[in-house]
Amino acid sequence: MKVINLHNDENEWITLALENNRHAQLQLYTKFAPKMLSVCRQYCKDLHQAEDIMITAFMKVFANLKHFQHKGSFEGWIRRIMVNECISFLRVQKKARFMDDETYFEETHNQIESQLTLDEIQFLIDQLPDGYKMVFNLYCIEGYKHHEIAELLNISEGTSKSQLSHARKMLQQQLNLQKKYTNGTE
Amino acid sequence: MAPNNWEEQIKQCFQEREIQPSAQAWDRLDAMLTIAEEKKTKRPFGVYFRYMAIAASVLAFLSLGFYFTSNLPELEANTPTGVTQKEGSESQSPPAGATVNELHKGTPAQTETVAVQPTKIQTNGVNSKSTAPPSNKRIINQQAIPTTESYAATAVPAPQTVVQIQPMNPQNTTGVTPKTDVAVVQPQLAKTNIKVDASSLLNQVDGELNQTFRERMFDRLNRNYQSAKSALATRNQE
Repeated sequence: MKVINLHNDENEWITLALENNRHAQLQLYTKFAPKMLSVCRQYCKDLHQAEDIMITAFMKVFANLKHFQHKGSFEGWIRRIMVNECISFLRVQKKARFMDDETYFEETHNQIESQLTLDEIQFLIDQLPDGYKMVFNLYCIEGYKHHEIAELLNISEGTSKSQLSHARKMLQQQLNLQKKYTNGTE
Repeated sequence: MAPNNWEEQIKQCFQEREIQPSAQAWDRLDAMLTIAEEKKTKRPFGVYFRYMAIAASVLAFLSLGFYFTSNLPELEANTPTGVTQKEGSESQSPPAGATVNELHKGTPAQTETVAVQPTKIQTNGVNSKSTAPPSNKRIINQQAIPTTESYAATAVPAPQTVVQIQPMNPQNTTGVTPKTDVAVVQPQLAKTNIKVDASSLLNQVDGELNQTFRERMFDRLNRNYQSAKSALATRNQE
């Protein structure tokens, strides 16, 4: 017997979720939760904390679903809510501190040839200070511009560039160390 | 060589990465959503009842205020302040040609009609016979109201009241009031030893007054208290 999923359409789920249909909300959650937990994990080392942030952000998603205008992708809209929630969480925890350092290096665009797995890269990013990590994630992974990051984190554009530059440098050093270590052991 | 190729790679990797949340995550979210929905559904009634309570309390205060203010004039009418008395009978009217001083001196029982005002006044028609006042009323100052009972003991000293009466115009016998300037030095009069017994005044008018709501309530409370007290006493005896 073939089971036909009646609510396979994302828009239909959204419409039903607007009416507090729990099944539709579950469908949306099941579809987007794994990716959104990954987003939260980028900003938060602790997976349980990341899950808490994700749940809070999903609450906001369902509460503000009426504001979604179907102009962009729904995933992008949720992702933005997740990022904002992560930033506000780090602000509350007072983990994100930015020094007004506007000195940044010219980007060298070095090709980092790395055979590292995603978990190893995540580990390296986790070692970055929270300010560097946030700017790096926002710029390199989420694709925000510097002026957007500056507005979001309430810092100057120069500080954002400086933080990214420091983050890249630090990551490069760690990758080189990792490379040396792996070459040495091989 | 594409710039920051490594970053592009990790961007793609991270955007495609999925981490399965724990099984309890949905349950927690479900519970939170349920609570939020309950709050939403309860809220309109809560707000409605809150506004109703506020409106009811405001109405209650207004009605109480209105009730007490409406009762106030009755009470005020019975207090000595602003008492106006009509010249009821001929016996109370001063004799012809009598001045205010004479009234004070000679006929203390008739002094309910004496006009005593705190400010220096010039009135027409102090002499009641030759100058009949148009309203036939005289305002009596609170401080200078002597009752018929207490007046004898609190007579106004004569030298404190100065009355200047212009000579009567003999032609003015047709009821037209002659211009009579009366200058009464009132501040001195106000500082006289006249003492008004407020309780006696109130006692006078007690019979005329209806019991106010407050008094009725106090009576009722008192009765209830007495009955409860007696019931308690009998029960203790048993």
